[in-house]
Amino acid sequence: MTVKEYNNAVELHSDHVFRFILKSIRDQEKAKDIVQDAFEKLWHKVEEVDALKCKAYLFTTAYRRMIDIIRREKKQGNWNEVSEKSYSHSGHYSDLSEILQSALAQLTEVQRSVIMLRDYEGYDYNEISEITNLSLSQVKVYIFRARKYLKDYLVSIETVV
Amino acid sequence: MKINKSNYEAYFLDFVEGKLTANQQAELDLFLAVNPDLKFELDSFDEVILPKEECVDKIAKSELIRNEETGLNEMDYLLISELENTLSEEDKQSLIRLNFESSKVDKERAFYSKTKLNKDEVVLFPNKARMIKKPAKLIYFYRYAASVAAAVLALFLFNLNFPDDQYEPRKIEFANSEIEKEIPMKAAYVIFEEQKAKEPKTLKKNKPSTIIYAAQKLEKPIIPASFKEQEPVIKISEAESLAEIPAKETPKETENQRMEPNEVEKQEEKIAQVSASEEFVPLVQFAKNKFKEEVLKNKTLTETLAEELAAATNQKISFEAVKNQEGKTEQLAINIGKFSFSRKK
Repeated sequence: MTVKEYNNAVELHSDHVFRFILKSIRDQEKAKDIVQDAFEKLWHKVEEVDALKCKAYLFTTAYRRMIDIIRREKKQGNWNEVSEKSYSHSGHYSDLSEILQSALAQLTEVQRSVIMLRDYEGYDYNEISEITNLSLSQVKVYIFRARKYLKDYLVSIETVV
Repeated sequence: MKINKSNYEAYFLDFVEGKLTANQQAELDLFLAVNPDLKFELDSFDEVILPKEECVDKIAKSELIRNEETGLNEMDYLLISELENTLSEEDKQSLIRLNFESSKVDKERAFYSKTKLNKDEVVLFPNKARMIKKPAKLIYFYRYAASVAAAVLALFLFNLNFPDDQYEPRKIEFANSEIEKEIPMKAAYVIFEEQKAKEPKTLKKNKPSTIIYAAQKLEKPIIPASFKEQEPVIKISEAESLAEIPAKETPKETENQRMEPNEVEKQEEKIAQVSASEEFVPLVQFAKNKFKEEVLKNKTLTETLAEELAAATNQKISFEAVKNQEGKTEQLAINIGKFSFSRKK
């Protein structure tokens, strides 16, 4: 890809990669670093990466870097583990989007990642499999279980309200 | 028992369960005509009765059967597949059947449709402007780092000596003209460098330093008759602070070491030929020349180091020299990747 194509990729994809990482990791500074790293790696391989595949390259690089950071911080005990099956919620929700974001935050990292890649970016199961290095079957199972969890969360909120 | 306001609920329950007799039904109709406000209450009793078509057995099955792949029950699996647009033909048939069997399907479907994240939600990356690359300033990060490393090394090398200066032999003059004339006889004398440590430390860079050369006779020297009785004395022209110094004493020659005149003449002739064809080279210079020839492969030290540096850092490294009319280097420039340094002599 050319410098111009690289710059186009920055314009087109940086917000999306940032949204994906920020919602996964929920730390703005870390998310910024991860996105910058991903673009830096793309720049190093600017002559090798096809312009049409640069978006997948960015998501793959950013996702793997994020997983590395999460694992490292979990080992160091810096990560706040959220109970997967906790439907507890506090505060007042103004709309569905807020409820959904709250539910999303309680998914596991992998479930959250696959569901965001699916809904935000519109990737099919094969593409998600390549980005996350999961098997096709694993991707499907993670997405289905994440949807079930989100639905149950919405039901629980509606019951309370 | 007649129907009244205190017992009408029992009549209502019997009514919805179809247990009223004809007389009781007539009484109920009359009661509702007198109390129309209770008609609404009777209608609500219908809702607490499960419709006959909603079979308990079938509902339980659809909720208990688990999908082998996902572990979800049939309804959840089919509704998520529908949302994900991954329904097979068989799944589509199953969903149609489930629609008839359960009234919960629509409600569940509505909940699942809300689990779709809004892809139009915008989150802006704050550092976007920094990521844009300008072609004119295109420097790869790793190349940049390599250039810096190379530049540091080059600066170190650059401050050593001018490449052209490194192998120029120092000029020496001898006070005694006869010795000056005869001293190149390499066969007779070994010239060596000494007293270098006595050089004043304040000497400026690139200025000729004071080096004393001494001559020592070989074990079996060949000395012309006109020269043999004299003591060889050597003085360096620049060594103003140093007086003439005598060379080390030579051992006295014995009779059997002396050659016949004819033999001496022949040897002198040979030496003259050798002297005319070969340049006089002190030992230190000889060692430098050998090093240049064997190790540097007749390249300058700078050229060799530059090649090694280029190989190690994967950078293009080149030297440019500007020479004056006399052929001496006036300015030297070194280019490393995107960096360039120059130095005037």
